[in-house]
Amino acid sequence: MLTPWGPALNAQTYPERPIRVIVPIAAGSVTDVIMRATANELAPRLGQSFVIENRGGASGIPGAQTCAQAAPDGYTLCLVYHNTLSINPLLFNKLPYDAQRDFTLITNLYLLVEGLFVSSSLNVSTPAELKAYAEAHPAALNYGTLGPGSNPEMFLKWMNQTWNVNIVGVPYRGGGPSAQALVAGELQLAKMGLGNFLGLLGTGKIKALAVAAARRSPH
Amino acid sequence: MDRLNSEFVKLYRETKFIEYLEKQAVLAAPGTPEEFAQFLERDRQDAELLIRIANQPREDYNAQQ
Repeated sequence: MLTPWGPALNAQTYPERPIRVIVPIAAGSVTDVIMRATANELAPRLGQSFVIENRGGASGIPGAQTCAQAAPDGYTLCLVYHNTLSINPLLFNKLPYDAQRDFTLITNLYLLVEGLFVSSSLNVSTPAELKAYAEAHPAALNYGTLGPGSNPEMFLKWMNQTWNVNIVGVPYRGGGPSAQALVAGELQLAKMGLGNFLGLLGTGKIKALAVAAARRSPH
Repeated sequence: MDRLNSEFVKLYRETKFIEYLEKQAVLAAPGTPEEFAQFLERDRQDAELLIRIANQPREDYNAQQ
Protein backbone atom coordinates (compact mmCIF):
# COMPACT_ATOMS: atom_id res chain seq x y z
CA MET A 1 0.00 0.00 0.00
CA LEU A 2 1.40 3.37 -1.09
CA THR A 3 0.42 6.97 -1.54
CA PRO A 4 1.82 9.57 -3.96
CA TRP A 5 5.02 10.99 -2.54
CA GLY A 6 5.12 13.85 -0.07
CA PRO A 7 1.64 14.29 1.42
CA ALA A 8 1.23 17.20 3.79
CA LEU A 9 -1.57 16.25 6.13
CA ASN A 10 -3.28 17.83 9.04
CA ALA A 11 -2.89 14.88 11.38
CA GLN A 12 -5.56 16.19 13.73
CA THR A 13 -8.36 16.27 11.19
CA TYR A 14 -7.36 13.66 8.59
CA PRO A 15 -9.34 12.17 6.93
CA GLU A 16 -11.89 14.87 6.18
CA ARG A 17 -13.27 13.39 2.96
CA PRO A 18 -13.52 10.02 1.15
CA ILE A 19 -10.28 8.25 0.30
CA ARG A 20 -9.69 6.98 -3.24
CA VAL A 21 -7.95 3.61 -3.59
CA ILE A 22 -6.41 2.59 -6.91
CA VAL A 23 -6.36 -1.19 -7.39
CA PRO A 24 -4.22 -2.32 -10.36
CA ILE A 25 -6.33 -5.45 -10.87
CA ALA A 26 -9.82 -6.02 -12.33
CA ALA A 27 -12.87 -6.07 -10.04
CA GLY A 28 -13.80 -9.54 -8.82
CA SER A 29 -10.17 -10.70 -8.53
CA VAL A 30 -8.98 -11.79 -5.11
CA THR A 31 -6.80 -8.67 -4.75
CA ASP A 32 -9.84 -6.47 -5.39
CA VAL A 33 -12.12 -8.51 -3.12
CA ILE A 34 -9.64 -8.21 -0.23
CA MET A 35 -9.22 -4.45 -0.78
CA ARG A 36 -13.00 -3.99 -0.66
CA ALA A 37 -13.22 -6.02 2.57
CA THR A 38 -10.39 -3.91 4.00
CA ALA A 39 -12.19 -0.70 3.01
CA ASN A 40 -15.41 -1.91 4.63
CA GLU A 41 -13.58 -2.53 7.90
CA LEU A 42 -11.57 0.69 7.89
CA ALA A 43 -14.29 3.11 6.76
CA PRO A 44 -16.10 3.25 10.14
CA ARG A 45 -12.80 3.40 12.02
CA LEU A 46 -11.56 6.37 9.99
CA GLY A 47 -15.00 7.94 9.71
CA GLN A 48 -14.74 8.20 5.92
CA SER A 49 -15.67 6.00 2.99
CA PHE A 50 -13.26 4.53 0.47
CA VAL A 51 -13.79 4.76 -3.28
CA ILE A 52 -12.17 1.83 -5.08
CA GLU A 53 -10.96 2.46 -8.62
CA ASN A 54 -9.88 -0.58 -10.66
CA ARG A 55 -7.10 0.02 -13.19
CA GLY A 56 -6.14 -3.49 -14.24
CA GLY A 57 -3.79 -4.84 -16.86
CA ALA A 58 -0.35 -4.13 -18.34
CA SER A 59 1.63 -5.45 -15.36
CA GLY A 60 0.19 -2.85 -13.01
CA ILE A 61 1.66 0.06 -14.96
CA PRO A 62 -1.57 2.05 -15.67
CA GLY A 63 -2.50 1.75 -11.99
CA ALA A 64 0.87 2.99 -10.80
CA GLN A 65 0.82 5.79 -13.38
CA THR A 66 -2.59 6.97 -12.11
CA CYS A 67 -1.22 6.88 -8.58
CA ALA A 68 1.95 8.80 -9.44
CA GLN A 69 -0.11 11.53 -11.12
CA ALA A 70 -2.61 11.92 -8.25
CA ALA A 71 -2.40 14.86 -5.85
CA PRO A 72 -0.04 14.03 -2.95
CA ASP A 73 -2.63 14.98 -0.34
CA GLY A 74 -3.15 11.63 1.41
CA TYR A 75 -6.53 11.08 -0.26
CA THR A 76 -5.27 8.69 -2.92
CA LEU A 77 -3.96 5.30 -1.83
CA CYS A 78 -2.50 2.78 -4.22
CA LEU A 79 -2.28 -0.95 -4.00
CA VAL A 80 0.70 -2.37 -5.84
CA TYR A 81 2.01 -5.86 -6.51
CA HIS A 82 5.28 -7.60 -7.23
CA ASN A 83 5.59 -6.01 -10.68
CA THR A 84 5.03 -2.38 -9.76
CA LEU A 85 8.11 -1.49 -7.74
CA SER A 86 10.39 -4.46 -8.37
CA ILE A 87 10.07 -6.02 -11.82
CA ASN A 88 8.85 -3.15 -14.00
CA PRO A 89 11.71 -0.71 -13.29
CA LEU A 90 14.22 -3.44 -14.21
CA LEU A 91 12.34 -4.50 -17.33
CA PHE A 92 10.98 -1.36 -18.97
CA ASN A 93 12.45 1.86 -20.34
CA LYS A 94 10.11 4.88 -20.41
CA LEU A 95 7.94 3.80 -17.47
CA PRO A 96 5.32 6.50 -16.75
CA TYR A 97 6.26 6.51 -13.04
CA ASP A 98 9.42 6.45 -10.91
CA ALA A 99 9.32 3.57 -8.42
CA GLN A 100 11.94 5.19 -6.18
CA ARG A 101 10.74 8.80 -6.13
CA ASP A 102 7.00 8.99 -6.82
CA PHE A 103 5.59 7.18 -3.78
CA THR A 104 5.49 7.15 0.00
CA LEU A 105 5.36 3.65 1.46
CA ILE A 106 2.59 2.86 3.94
CA THR A 107 2.73 -0.86 4.68
CA ASN A 108 3.03 -4.30 3.18
CA LEU A 109 -0.36 -6.03 3.55
CA TYR A 110 -0.10 -9.70 2.64
CA LEU A 111 1.67 -12.44 0.76
CA LEU A 112 -0.21 -14.23 -1.98
CA VAL A 113 -0.28 -18.00 -2.38
CA GLU A 114 -0.33 -18.90 -6.07
CA GLY A 115 -1.35 -21.95 -8.02
CA LEU A 116 -0.97 -23.29 -11.55
CA PHE A 117 -4.42 -24.27 -12.78
CA VAL A 118 -5.44 -26.23 -15.81
CA SER A 119 -8.76 -26.84 -17.56
CA SER A 120 -10.07 -30.32 -16.73
CA SER A 121 -10.82 -30.77 -20.45
CA LEU A 122 -7.08 -31.19 -21.11
CA ASN A 123 -7.03 -34.40 -19.10
CA VAL A 124 -3.64 -33.67 -17.53
CA SER A 125 -3.02 -34.07 -13.79
CA THR A 126 0.70 -33.45 -13.34
CA PRO A 127 3.30 -30.98 -14.67
CA ALA A 128 4.92 -33.89 -16.58
CA GLU A 129 1.63 -34.66 -18.33
CA LEU A 130 1.22 -30.95 -19.12
CA LYS A 131 4.70 -30.90 -20.68
CA ALA A 132 3.86 -33.95 -22.81
CA TYR A 133 0.58 -32.35 -23.93
CA ALA A 134 2.31 -29.06 -24.79
CA GLU A 135 4.98 -30.92 -26.79
CA ALA A 136 2.30 -32.74 -28.78
CA HIS A 137 0.16 -29.61 -29.33
CA PRO A 138 2.40 -26.60 -30.18
CA ALA A 139 0.71 -23.18 -29.85
CA ALA A 140 -2.59 -24.86 -28.88
CA LEU A 141 -2.57 -23.97 -25.19
CA ASN A 142 -3.56 -20.48 -24.00
CA TYR A 143 -2.15 -19.32 -20.66
CA GLY A 144 -3.41 -16.23 -18.77
CA THR A 145 -0.94 -13.46 -17.92
CA LEU A 146 -1.28 -9.96 -16.43
CA GLY A 147 0.45 -8.38 -19.43
CA PRO A 148 3.96 -8.13 -20.90
CA GLY A 149 6.63 -8.56 -18.23
CA SER A 150 4.16 -9.67 -15.57
CA ASN A 151 5.17 -12.39 -13.17
CA PRO A 152 2.85 -14.98 -14.81
CA GLU A 153 4.28 -14.12 -18.22
CA MET A 154 7.85 -14.59 -17.00
CA PHE A 155 6.90 -17.97 -15.54
CA LEU A 156 5.49 -18.85 -18.98
CA LYS A 157 8.73 -17.83 -20.71
CA TRP A 158 10.71 -19.94 -18.29
CA MET A 159 8.35 -22.90 -18.87
CA ASN A 160 8.51 -22.54 -22.68
CA GLN A 161 12.31 -22.32 -22.67
CA THR A 162 12.89 -25.09 -20.14
CA TRP A 163 10.43 -27.52 -21.72
CA ASN A 164 11.10 -26.35 -25.28
CA VAL A 165 7.38 -25.91 -25.93
CA ASN A 166 5.16 -23.11 -27.27
CA ILE A 167 2.37 -22.25 -24.84
CA VAL A 168 0.72 -18.95 -25.78
CA GLY A 169 0.40 -16.08 -23.26
CA VAL A 170 -2.87 -14.10 -23.28
CA PRO A 171 -3.11 -10.92 -21.14
CA TYR A 172 -6.00 -10.44 -18.67
CA ARG A 173 -6.71 -7.64 -16.21
CA GLY A 174 -6.72 -9.84 -13.14
CA GLY A 175 -7.05 -13.26 -11.60
CA GLY A 176 -10.87 -13.06 -11.55
CA PRO A 177 -11.25 -12.64 -15.33
CA SER A 178 -8.51 -15.28 -15.87
CA ALA A 179 -10.35 -17.81 -13.71
CA GLN A 180 -13.59 -17.16 -15.61
CA ALA A 181 -11.75 -17.54 -18.95
CA LEU A 182 -10.34 -20.86 -17.75
CA VAL A 183 -13.82 -22.14 -16.94
CA ALA A 184 -15.18 -20.78 -20.26
CA GLY A 185 -12.47 -22.57 -22.26
CA GLU A 186 -10.77 -19.39 -23.55
CA LEU A 187 -7.74 -20.37 -21.48
CA GLN A 188 -6.37 -23.81 -20.73
CA LEU A 189 -3.83 -22.65 -18.14
CA ALA A 190 -3.43 -19.91 -15.56
CA LYS A 191 -0.98 -19.24 -12.74
CA MET A 192 -2.32 -16.62 -10.36
CA GLY A 193 -3.53 -16.16 -6.80
CA LEU A 194 -5.06 -19.34 -5.43
CA GLY A 195 -7.95 -17.34 -3.95
CA ASN A 196 -9.25 -16.60 -7.47
CA PHE A 197 -9.79 -20.30 -8.13
CA LEU A 198 -10.88 -21.79 -4.80
CA GLY A 199 -14.60 -21.44 -5.54
CA LEU A 200 -14.16 -23.10 -8.93
CA LEU A 201 -12.19 -26.17 -7.86
CA GLY A 202 -15.38 -27.88 -6.69
CA THR A 203 -17.02 -27.52 -10.12
CA GLY A 204 -14.76 -30.16 -11.68
CA LYS A 205 -13.97 -27.75 -14.54
CA ILE A 206 -10.47 -26.89 -13.38
CA LYS A 207 -7.63 -28.68 -11.60
CA ALA A 208 -4.66 -27.42 -9.60
CA LEU A 209 -1.35 -28.76 -10.91
CA ALA A 210 0.90 -26.98 -8.44
CA VAL A 211 0.64 -24.53 -5.57
CA ALA A 212 3.55 -22.21 -4.78
CA ALA A 213 4.44 -21.20 -1.24
CA ALA A 214 3.80 -17.57 -0.35
CA ARG A 215 5.37 -15.58 -3.13
CA ARG A 216 5.67 -11.90 -2.43
CA SER A 217 2.90 -10.21 -4.27
CA PRO A 218 0.46 -7.46 -3.37
CA HIS A 219 2.12 -5.04 -1.00
CA MET B 1 0.68 8.70 7.15
CA ASP B 2 1.13 7.26 10.64
CA ARG B 3 -2.63 7.07 11.13
CA LEU B 4 -3.10 5.11 7.89
CA ASN B 5 -0.25 2.74 8.68
CA SER B 6 -1.54 2.06 12.18
CA GLU B 7 -5.13 1.42 11.00
CA PHE B 8 -4.04 -0.99 8.26
CA VAL B 9 -1.59 -2.78 10.55
CA LYS B 10 -4.13 -3.07 13.37
CA LEU B 11 -6.76 -4.60 11.08
CA TYR B 12 -4.30 -7.01 9.46
CA ARG B 13 -3.28 -8.25 12.92
CA GLU B 14 -6.82 -8.99 14.12
CA THR B 15 -7.52 -12.72 14.38
CA LYS B 16 -10.86 -12.48 12.64
CA PHE B 17 -9.40 -10.60 9.67
CA ILE B 18 -6.37 -12.92 9.45
CA GLU B 19 -8.80 -15.86 9.27
CA TYR B 20 -10.72 -14.07 6.49
CA LEU B 21 -7.45 -13.53 4.59
CA GLU B 22 -6.47 -17.18 4.97
CA LYS B 23 -9.78 -18.15 3.34
CA GLN B 24 -8.65 -16.05 0.36
CA ALA B 25 -5.32 -17.95 0.38
CA VAL B 26 -3.23 -14.98 1.43
CA LEU B 27 -1.02 -14.51 4.49
CA ALA B 28 -1.17 -11.25 6.43
CA ALA B 29 2.20 -9.46 6.50
CA PRO B 30 1.67 -5.89 7.80
CA GLY B 31 4.52 -3.80 9.21
CA THR B 32 6.19 -0.41 9.36
CA PRO B 33 7.08 1.62 6.26
CA GLU B 34 10.74 0.82 7.05
CA GLU B 35 10.00 -2.92 7.02
CA PHE B 36 8.17 -2.43 3.74
CA ALA B 37 11.26 -0.72 2.29
CA GLN B 38 13.47 -3.60 3.47
CA PHE B 39 11.05 -6.08 1.94
CA LEU B 40 11.25 -4.21 -1.37
CA GLU B 41 15.04 -4.46 -1.34
CA ARG B 42 14.78 -8.25 -1.19
CA ASP B 43 11.90 -8.22 -3.67
CA ARG B 44 14.07 -6.36 -6.21
CA GLN B 45 16.79 -9.00 -5.84
CA ASP B 46 14.16 -11.69 -6.47
CA ALA B 47 12.95 -9.74 -9.50
CA GLU B 48 16.49 -9.67 -10.94
CA LEU B 49 16.70 -13.44 -10.58
CA LEU B 50 13.25 -13.93 -12.13
CA ILE B 51 14.14 -11.75 -15.12
CA ARG B 52 17.42 -13.67 -15.56
CA ILE B 53 15.83 -17.13 -15.51
CA ALA B 54 13.01 -16.00 -17.80
CA ASN B 55 15.68 -14.56 -20.12
CA GLN B 56 13.52 -11.47 -20.50
CA PRO B 57 15.13 -8.55 -22.40
CA ARG B 58 14.71 -4.93 -21.29
CA GLU B 59 12.30 -3.09 -23.56
CA ASP B 60 10.44 0.21 -23.98
CA TYR B 61 7.08 0.34 -22.25
CA ASN B 62 4.31 0.57 -24.83
CA ALA B 63 1.07 1.96 -23.39
CA GLN B 64 -0.90 0.35 -26.22
CA GLN B 65 -0.16 -3.15 -24.99
